[in-house]
Amino acid sequence: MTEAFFADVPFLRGKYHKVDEPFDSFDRFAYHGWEGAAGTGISDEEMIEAVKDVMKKNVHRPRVYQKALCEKYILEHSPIDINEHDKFPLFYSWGRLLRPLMWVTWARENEANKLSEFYRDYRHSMAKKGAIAMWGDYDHSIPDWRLLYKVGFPGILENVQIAHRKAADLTEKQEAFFTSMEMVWKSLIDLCLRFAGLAKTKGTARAEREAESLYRLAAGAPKTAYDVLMLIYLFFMIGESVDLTQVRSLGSGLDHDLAPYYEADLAAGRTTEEEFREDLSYFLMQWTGIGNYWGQPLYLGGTNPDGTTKFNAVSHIILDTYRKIGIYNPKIQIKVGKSTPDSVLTEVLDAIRHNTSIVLICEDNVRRNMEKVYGITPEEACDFDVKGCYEYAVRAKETSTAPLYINMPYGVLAVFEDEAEPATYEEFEKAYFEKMGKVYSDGIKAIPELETYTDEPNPTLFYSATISASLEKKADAYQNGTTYNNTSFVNSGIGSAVDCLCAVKILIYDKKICTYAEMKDALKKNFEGYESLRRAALLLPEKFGNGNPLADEITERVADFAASFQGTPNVRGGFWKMTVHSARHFIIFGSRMGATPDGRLAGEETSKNSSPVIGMDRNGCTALMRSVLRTKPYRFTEGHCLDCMLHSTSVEGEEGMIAMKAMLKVYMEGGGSAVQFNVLSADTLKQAQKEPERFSNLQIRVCGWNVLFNDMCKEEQDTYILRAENIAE
Amino acid sequence: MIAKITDYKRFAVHDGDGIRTTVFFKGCPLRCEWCHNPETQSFNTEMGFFEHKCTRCGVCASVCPAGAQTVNGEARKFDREICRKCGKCAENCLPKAMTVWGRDTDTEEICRVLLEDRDFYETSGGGITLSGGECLCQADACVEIMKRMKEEGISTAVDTCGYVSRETLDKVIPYTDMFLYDIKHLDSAKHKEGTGVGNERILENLEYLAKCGCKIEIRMPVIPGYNDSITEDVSEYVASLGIERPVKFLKYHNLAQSKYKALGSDHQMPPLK
Repeated sequence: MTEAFFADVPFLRGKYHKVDEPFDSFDRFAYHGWEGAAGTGISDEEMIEAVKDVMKKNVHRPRVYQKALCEKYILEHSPIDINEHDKFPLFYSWGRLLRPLMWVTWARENEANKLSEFYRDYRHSMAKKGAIAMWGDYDHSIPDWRLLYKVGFPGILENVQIAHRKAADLTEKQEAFFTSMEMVWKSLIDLCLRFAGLAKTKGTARAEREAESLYRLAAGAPKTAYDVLMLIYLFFMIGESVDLTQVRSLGSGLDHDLAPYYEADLAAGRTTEEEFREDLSYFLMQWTGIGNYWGQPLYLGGTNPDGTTKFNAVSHIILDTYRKIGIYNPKIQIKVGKSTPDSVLTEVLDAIRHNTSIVLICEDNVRRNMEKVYGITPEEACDFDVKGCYEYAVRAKETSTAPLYINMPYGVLAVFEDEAEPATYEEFEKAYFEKMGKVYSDGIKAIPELETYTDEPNPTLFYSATISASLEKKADAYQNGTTYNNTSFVNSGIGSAVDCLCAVKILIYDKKICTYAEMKDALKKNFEGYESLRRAALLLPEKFGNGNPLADEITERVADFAASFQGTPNVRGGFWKMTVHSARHFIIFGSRMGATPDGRLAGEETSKNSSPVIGMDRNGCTALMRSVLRTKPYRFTEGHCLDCMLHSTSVEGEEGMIAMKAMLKVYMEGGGSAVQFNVLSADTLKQAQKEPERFSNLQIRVCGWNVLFNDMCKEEQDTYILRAENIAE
Repeated sequence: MIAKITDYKRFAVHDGDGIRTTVFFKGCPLRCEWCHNPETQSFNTEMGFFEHKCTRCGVCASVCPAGAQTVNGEARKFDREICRKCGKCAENCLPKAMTVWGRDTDTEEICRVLLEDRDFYETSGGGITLSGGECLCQADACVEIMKRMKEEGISTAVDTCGYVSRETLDKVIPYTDMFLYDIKHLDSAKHKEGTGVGNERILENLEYLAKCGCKIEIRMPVIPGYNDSITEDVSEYVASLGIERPVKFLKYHNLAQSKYKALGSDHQMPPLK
């Protein structure tokens, strides 16, 4: 990488943050940005007033048209800049100010006026109990990137205009849908020209190159690899900060997408590998600068329909550039499978063991399952998009519009709320599934109300225009406008649910350490006066993720039960998909839930993703992998990810590489979906030192010797941390 | 058959080829100054008490049938003299301040645990490793376990200090795919100084294994000031026996000091220098 890039890094890191305002990394639309160049736009206050005014004057018009007018105004009046320290333009991020004004306001109006009492009760009272969470999802969209590359911004506008002209007997809403898209796409092209014009005034070679690229994008399809990066960046920024629709992958396989442009650039002498790497560095740094907690995914690799690998020279350049600039956001996902060359696997795993955060997607299993569930061709399946951390979609043909987060341990407490006392464990488990079944089925009943009006709170004008089915159906892609209009269950806390059921079985029914009534009372009193019962619960070997036979059997039943709701038709001609993960809801649900039979106290977090409860992973990563495979991860069509912690010493050298490859192979062959290897960093060890009870089984292998981290005294731990720090380097 | 073991280590990647599960047997005829698994030295069951992990909750005192545990506020005493090593305290200790080292375990149970990770062995070219302590001090149990593993098609390794009888070696050779064999010193007097025993039997046994054509990996803990100047000699000696695998030199760390303390021992491991 060039010195110029590293000199610009501080500017890029600050590009999206106002220095005088606190930054909340959890609020994905909160970033703001440098002030634009003088005279290029209006202030925050003026913009808010102007948008309010536009909304007020057009309140009688269809919502989509109101939004388009607001967006047009924003695109025309937003301050902009072209900075000498950057290779991409500055666009002010408006989500922070405009989301409350538009989307949030419209969603509230929608709920108050159009949704039933049943919906409101389910959404709010069940959320308060810590059972569920639900909302309209505008966070997992991926445009048809390939169409965008092929026709460019003007081509998309033309497609909209043609579809509009061809369409007959349009309703007022449909008419507004087309008119609105035309309006905002024209504004986007005008914005490119505004950027280009400003760049022209700068008089530097870098700004001149930027101007040329922006002029090309205003006129047609991208011609160079830099143009493609520029297009992705602009679409992302407009999607997220104006259209309030999060664009959840940078390209549909950035390596695959860029390769033909890069090769043509090289052949024509338009660029060098050095320059391409620099362009990539500036491109990737944009998301480091934005820095939201959730990260921005981009995926690489995969398999072609003829069975050959999609890994190419650009894959290596992207991965190598990413490692050299030492960032973690955007986050990289890599599709690996049987076609992946061993040398690529070595390169990827080597990056992981040196603390590059990469999620590995077991693409063969995902592809096969998608072919089966969607009935798509192998060619389409090869092209699947990763539209979130590890959620999958048919490329350019699918949305999942409303996640229903389910707190899996909730059912255990719901059984204890009943008067009746189950006579056997089998009865208890049956009652648990009945309680959970009601949560799922009520969700299936409630969500359609929300989904009937998905395009009301937040019409998606930029995203929809790129989706061919949306234009054909004359409907917002987030309404019924894609080919697969799906809905997702997000199952959180499977580890806690299994641990609770194990504790009930062992403590109450098998070993009779307490009676049902005593456990009920203990939970009510948050184990106050029941300390020994709590200790017994925590000490049970029957815990999720440890290869324990009983826990694994229960795991299988809990996973089967959740999976049985997959494929249920939704209200939009699609179906319900299922994922096992928790995002941050293991904290939120935990904070709303009382004590649980596994010894968890009221308010404490539940288990995260498909991991065991913290501190309960006692048998290491192989046992964890075996237990998690009992859930049959491949079948969860909306995704499933295993977090696997490895210690840096166990992945060192050739032996470590063999071990990592074997772990991955076992997971892939066993039906895994995605896996993230977390090589323990010095930071983790420091945390383990501070909170030994949470890391009681952290085992360290030093040059053939065996020791538990917490068995070391502080000085020894310090030595070890120092080692880990050295390894990280 | 019963074996006395202290622990298992799954996902062991330094105890032979591939991913392995290692079983640590209790008891060793050597007393290496630098030993990192002191809990495996004695052939008897021992209690480990990690005082820095103790939260003074007092549960151990309430369950101890011998009255060996005393907790009075911050004052904490564990009386090893009267402890019956029943393990009740360890069973009930949430922060794992108490632990039992040395459990009599049926070899069938050991095999059950070892078989759990067979997918990982097969995929990585790994298997199981018997270690310790000196596992060959419980050779019959080793044979029992490895016989079963061979029936299951799983690769076996024995990690040994070599201070055992020829008969013992003959017993295990047919079932052992690989020996991980320790050399501490080539000079017998120095060997005795560092480990408590001379090295004649160890080197004779090594030469015997080499002659038998056994697959051997020599491992040498490199202790500063003790044997760090003879690494080349060791390599030459090993090569002279026709052992092709290069000697694995294990860098010394004194990270096991806390385990000595937990055993109630005041033994000081050699400094790092």
